[in-house]
Amino acid sequence: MNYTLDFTPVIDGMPNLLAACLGTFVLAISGMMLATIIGIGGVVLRTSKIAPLRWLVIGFVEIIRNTPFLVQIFFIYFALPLAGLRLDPTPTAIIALGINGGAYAIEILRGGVQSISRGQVEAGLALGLHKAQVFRFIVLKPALRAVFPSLTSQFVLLTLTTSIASAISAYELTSVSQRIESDSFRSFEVYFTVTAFYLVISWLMMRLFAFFSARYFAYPVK
Amino acid sequence: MSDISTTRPQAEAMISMAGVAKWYGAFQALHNINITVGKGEKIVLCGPSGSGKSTLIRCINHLETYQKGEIFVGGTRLGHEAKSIDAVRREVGMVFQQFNLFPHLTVLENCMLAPMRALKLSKAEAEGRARQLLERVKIAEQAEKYPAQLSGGQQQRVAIARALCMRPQVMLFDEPTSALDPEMVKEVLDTMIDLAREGMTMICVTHEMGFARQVADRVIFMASGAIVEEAPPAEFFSDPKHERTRKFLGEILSRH
Ligand SMILES: Nc1ncnc2c1ncn2[C@@H]1O[C@H](COP(=O)(O)OP(=O)(O)O)[C@@H](O)[C@H]1O
Ligand SMILES: [Mg+2]
Repeated sequence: MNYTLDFTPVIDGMPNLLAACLGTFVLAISGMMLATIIGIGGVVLRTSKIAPLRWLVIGFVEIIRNTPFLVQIFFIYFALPLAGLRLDPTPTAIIALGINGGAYAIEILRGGVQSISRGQVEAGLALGLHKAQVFRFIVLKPALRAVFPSLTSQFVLLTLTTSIASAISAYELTSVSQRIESDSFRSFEVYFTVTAFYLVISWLMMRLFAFFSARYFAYPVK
Repeated sequence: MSDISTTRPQAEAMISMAGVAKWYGAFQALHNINITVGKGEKIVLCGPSGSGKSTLIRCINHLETYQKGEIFVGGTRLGHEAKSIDAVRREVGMVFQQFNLFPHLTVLENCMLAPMRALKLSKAEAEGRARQLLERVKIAEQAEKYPAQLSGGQQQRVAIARALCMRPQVMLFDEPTSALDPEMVKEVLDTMIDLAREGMTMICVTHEMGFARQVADRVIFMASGAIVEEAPPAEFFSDPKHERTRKFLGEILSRH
């Protein structure tokens, strides 16, 4: 009951904590970019004429969405070396985040693509564009716009999920704060500060997405 | 068909369909379609809803596949392989009932997309072409707007310009004025009439009988997936041969 707050270790560790925030940003942004690539690629394969490709994507999505991220990141971290590929924790975490976020992005984007009317595709084909060009130049942007709010929540979640990468000691906020906490035993002060930092990071991410949306999806619709 | 096609100079057939049949699953949507359209000819295709008009013209640019018969466009045989489909689509423009402009592109960009991506024109060339055709459909001042900022009639004129930017030899229209408010029908029909005057080969699915009288070389009447009757407009309207045609004309003309 007579606990006296002492933020000295937090203040002393502030340069480390701020650098770790940057680490979290790097994980999150790189993970999102990979997830976006996997998401778009996955949607293309998911609608492919070749059935085994579709099954591959469906299987991938089901496996990722029905297993815990912690297990996925351990799996990648410990399984890849067995396959002869040794990666540092941070690249491993980016790959895991990209794969996990990508599986969710596939499902979200699929909804967006389905919301585009058949007439848009037909107009593109009738103009002599190929299927891939129709997807890239006609379908993709309106589809992204249609699901952008869902994609934003998913990617904010991905940002917070970076904390699980502390389990393999990737360089990010949670693992750095764990170190400060175990050196100082100032658990409350450390996690209070870290909580505030995560809130700010989430808020910044949402601003970033809102900015992006205002810039790229500004065209009027009826 | 015989006396008409022999009196008309048809040195070059732009489109010919011979014995074309199409099924949706077990349902036969087109029965033995035979049509020849000469260069510069204007055809109006009419018939009750569900008679297969859209299906027929959509076979011409392979938005629908067909199972029997042959289609030639500008001398190219339209097979089911990508090469001939590409070749035919480059020569055939299409205008849809619902306009189908791309909402995320400006009017100008809508017109530039296909020339740049399908014909590999430079940006400057594509823009020059687009502005010229927007001028021609009298909408040049709206070039920087987005489709949602235009009226239906304006959107449909942009859609016509967009198709023309590919410099097609043939234009297909699928009920281009059916989705429009009545006061906007005229501006679109006037654009189509201008295009007809300039010698474009056209197949128009429309129930605008005034347009048919003024522009069409022949009117083709379809019912239940088959061509029932085919005649120059004067003859088609004054002296329809078949009972189904008379019934259809009675319904359509009493509506106007
Ligand atoms: N994708 C489709 N699948 C099954 N039946 C179709 C399809 N499209 C059209 N049909 C049927 O084919 C017939 C002709 O349709 P359509 O060509 O659209 O007629 P129209 O344009 O003359 O109104 C209709 O009976 C319609 O129900
Ligand atoms: Mg129709």
